[in-house]
Amino acid sequence: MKEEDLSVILNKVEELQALLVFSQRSIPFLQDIFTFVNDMVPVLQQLRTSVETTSEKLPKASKQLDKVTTATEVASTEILNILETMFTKIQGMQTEARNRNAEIEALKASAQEIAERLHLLAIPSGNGDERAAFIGACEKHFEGVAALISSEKEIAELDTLQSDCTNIMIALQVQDITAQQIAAVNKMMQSVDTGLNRLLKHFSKVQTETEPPKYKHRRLDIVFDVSAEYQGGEERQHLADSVIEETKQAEKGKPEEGVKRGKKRRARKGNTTA
Amino acid sequence: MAALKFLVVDDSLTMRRIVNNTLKTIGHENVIEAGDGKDAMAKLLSEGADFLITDWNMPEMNGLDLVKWARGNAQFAKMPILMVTTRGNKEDVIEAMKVRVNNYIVKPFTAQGLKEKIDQILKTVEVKPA
Repeated sequence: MKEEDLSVILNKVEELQALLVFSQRSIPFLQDIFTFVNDMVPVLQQLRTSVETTSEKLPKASKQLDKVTTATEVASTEILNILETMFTKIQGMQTEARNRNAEIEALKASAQEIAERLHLLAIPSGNGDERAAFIGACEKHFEGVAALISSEKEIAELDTLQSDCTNIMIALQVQDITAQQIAAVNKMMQSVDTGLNRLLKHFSKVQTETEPPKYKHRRLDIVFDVSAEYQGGEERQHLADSVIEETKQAEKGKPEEGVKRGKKRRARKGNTTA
Repeated sequence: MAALKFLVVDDSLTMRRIVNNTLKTIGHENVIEAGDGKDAMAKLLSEGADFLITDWNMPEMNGLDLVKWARGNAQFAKMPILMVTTRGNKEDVIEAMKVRVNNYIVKPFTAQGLKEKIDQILKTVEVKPA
């Protein structure tokens, strides 16, 4: 055997030895990795189960939200139906009460006339004081009767009733606002579910089939404003009013700017022609 | 003077009824409704209106686009328009003013508030009943 061959063999043996030493050192490390992976498998299984369960529950929650929106819409419609009937009745009663008041005023005038004629019949050569007393007594009697049958109080109460009904109706705006808030939550749940499904795909070799839309509900599939709120309407209106005022003031200032620009243009033209 | 004809546009049936009834309590009985901007366009062209009250967020065509269309149409360019919406940010109001709504009311509004806005508009805009 040549010396060169021997040195090649020795080199190879040294390499093999180094490899064996390296392997010996890495085996515990690899063992740790295998142990870790083994420990992770049940955790990942649990995670997968949890993600699957959540993914199943989200569409159910969406359905519940749809039921809530439906229920509030139905209730609002029922309340509005009743309120509209009340408005009609109240209006009718207000008209009757006002007409009755007008009739009472007309009766007062004729009662005065009757009193004067009665007095003329009863005391033809009338003593002035007696006449005044007689008419005063008749008027007082009629005022008393009129006060009993007067509709003023009734009209005032009907006005209050109408105002209360209007306030109830206005408060029903909560239905529209909460429907928008619920639609926003539904959209958020849909996004979370999409993310979870993407995660599930990593756990499963089976391709998920295209499922029918789980978040499409007529009452939740609306165009919503994410910032819709029932509270704080007054402050938001003040802000809107101040912006409108600023915009209108700014627009009023614009014609003056146009006039200034025109003057500058004319001045420049004058310079060039000169 | 002939009664003004109002067109109320909102995708919420509840809101349309609320605005409709509020208009009636403040003396405006002649009211028609539309469920979105597209429906409103069709109603304006077929039935006409003197005053437009519109929501912003609607399907098919939102309120802002409806206003832009109306202002671009000679027949409705000067029609009084009131925006009624949940959007209360400064940027939203500015955007609405840019498309030339006459006034802006934030939901939830009061009956008195709606009346005041309508009266303010009617003071500044000449309206010829259709």
